[in-house]
Amino acid sequence: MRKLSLSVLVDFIFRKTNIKIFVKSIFHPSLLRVILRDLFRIKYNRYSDKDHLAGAMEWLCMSQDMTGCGGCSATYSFERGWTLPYPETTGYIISTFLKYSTLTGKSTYIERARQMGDWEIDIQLPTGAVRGGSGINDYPIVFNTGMVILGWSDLYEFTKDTRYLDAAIRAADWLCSIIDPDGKWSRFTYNEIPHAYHSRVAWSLLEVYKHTANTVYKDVARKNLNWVLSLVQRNGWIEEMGFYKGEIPLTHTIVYTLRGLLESSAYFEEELRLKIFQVVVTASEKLMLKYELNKRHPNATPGYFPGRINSKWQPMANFTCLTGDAQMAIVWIKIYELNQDARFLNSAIKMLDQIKELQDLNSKNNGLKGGIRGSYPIWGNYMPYSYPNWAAKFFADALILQGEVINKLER
Amino acid sequence: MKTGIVATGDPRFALTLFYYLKLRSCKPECIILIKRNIFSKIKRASFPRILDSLQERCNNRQTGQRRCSRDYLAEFARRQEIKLPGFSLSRICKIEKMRLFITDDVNNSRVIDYLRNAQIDLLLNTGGGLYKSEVISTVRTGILNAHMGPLPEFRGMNVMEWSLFYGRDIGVTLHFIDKGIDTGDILMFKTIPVESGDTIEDLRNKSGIVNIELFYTAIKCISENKLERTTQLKDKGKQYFVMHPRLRSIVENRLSNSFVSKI
Repeated sequence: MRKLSLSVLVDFIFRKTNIKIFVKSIFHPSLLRVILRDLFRIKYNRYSDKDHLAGAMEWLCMSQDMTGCGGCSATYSFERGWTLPYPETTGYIISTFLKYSTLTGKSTYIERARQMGDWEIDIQLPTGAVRGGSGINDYPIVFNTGMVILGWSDLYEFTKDTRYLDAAIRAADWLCSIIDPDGKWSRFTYNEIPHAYHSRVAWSLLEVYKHTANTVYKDVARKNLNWVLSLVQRNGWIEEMGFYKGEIPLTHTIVYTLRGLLESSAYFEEELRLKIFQVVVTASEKLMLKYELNKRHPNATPGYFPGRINSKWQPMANFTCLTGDAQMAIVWIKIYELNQDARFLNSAIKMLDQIKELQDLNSKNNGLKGGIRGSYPIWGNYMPYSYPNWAAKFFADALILQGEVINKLER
Repeated sequence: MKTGIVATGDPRFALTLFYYLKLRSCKPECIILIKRNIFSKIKRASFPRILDSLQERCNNRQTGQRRCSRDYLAEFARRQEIKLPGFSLSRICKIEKMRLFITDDVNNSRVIDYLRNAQIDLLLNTGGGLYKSEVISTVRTGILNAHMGPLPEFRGMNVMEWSLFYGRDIGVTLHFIDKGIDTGDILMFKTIPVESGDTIEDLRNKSGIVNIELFYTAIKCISENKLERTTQLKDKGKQYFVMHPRLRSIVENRLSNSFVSKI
């Protein structure tokens, strides 16, 4: 990630899309400013956690308001502006709004979360599955279904409105009906391949189990987790973590996998719980060491975390994936809470500081103000020239969690 | 036994150590000063680096670390009747008939050649960075490092802060340097007395005194063949990194709010 300005410039010039967007942005100074800042590596000012969190939440509210249907717009794109609502991520954004309402005491966030949950029920497929892609499509996707279950489950817990639990049960039943005998989901999946990050889907089933005590959900989740554990290599790497077959995975999907494992582990007996925890800690520690050792001298702040990591735990990208960074910070903080190894917390705080420096809280463009971009630099290989709603969501989650842990330490 | 001191930046600590050892008839043969000259600074400079370092400085200023309340090293020097001369290090070395070796990298071939030709038995590291195996093997007995935390538990950076974070005894571990980071054989550990009102900087300053005492004890033991080396169990420890200012301020507050003397 530490590249010379000249090579950054060359990298920028030789991408056609960049030039197209660059020309377009000449007429939109706010967009041009982002590109120029990234070209010259000029960061934004860092403010308090509260300000950054409020910025991200306001951006998420804006993404919801833009669609007019209750769902959140998938991204703010330099090319197309606000895009269609995205069922998958709207699902898990519900949980962020509920947490934020608890933190701030503002009931408007509960109301917004309800609107999201209601929209998700309205567009739920008759099978119980959740639609794939952004907008209203007719095909179901396993992962998206799991992510919306997480939101419904939290909404039910918060409001005790059984409509959300019923919707979650219908979705969970569909997931249980299509799982392969060996525990993987290979049908109705993104790119029609099984993914290790479906561990998050297992987690969603366990959330339904928590509310229903129906052991079918727990058994299916266990089956999937055992399949994911069968993918663990000797060096701690987990196969099939990418979006595509043979892809060097993004930190986004690597940490999806780890988070799914970590959250699921809490539901199982000690033996399986410790086994899963060990897998998560091993992988997370390797990532943390990579992050901390990527610096000019021992006293320097680490460089940005590379957006892709290969199966030898080597960095394979010259951009950082900010969604993955925020997710990583969450997993590191959660590990600290479990094993009290404060190195994880330390790295998470540093990483969140770096994301803060890339969040513009003063832009006059509502699509940029408070949003978190897909990549740094903006033309990086993950959601280029876009501000995805899930980046803001995970960043907000991470700041809330960091605040809780630091408050505990300060007491 | 021929000894040398490796110093970096402000040579005040190295000079205090030098005079302390001289007073006890263990006068070092040389001082190797690691100093970046203007050419090496220019060679390493680049626009992003300059921007990064400016930002780092700005961030550090914002966090406002607490300063040292007393100059413990100067007080120690006074107690030991050490008077640091007010002139340059090169002049002091000339007067003391001691070789001063200024370099921008402790691992360069000139340093290795010098150490080999001068047949240095023991180097006392007071901040030379990472040593390559060629340098380590050139020094006959080895290179001693005073590490600001208990080993093998706390390796790496800011280990004093990390020890305080975990509520552990703070102190200095004297160990030999090997290829790893703080993984060499351990010689001894000495705790640092914590007093009411101490800040982290105070404790760091106090650790300098403990370092000097430990270096002297080690030289004495080596020359009397009484040294016991303990191999580190690498699995027992963890490598720590620079502590984030927010955690550091939590440690600082704990230190000032709930003072409990460990000594």
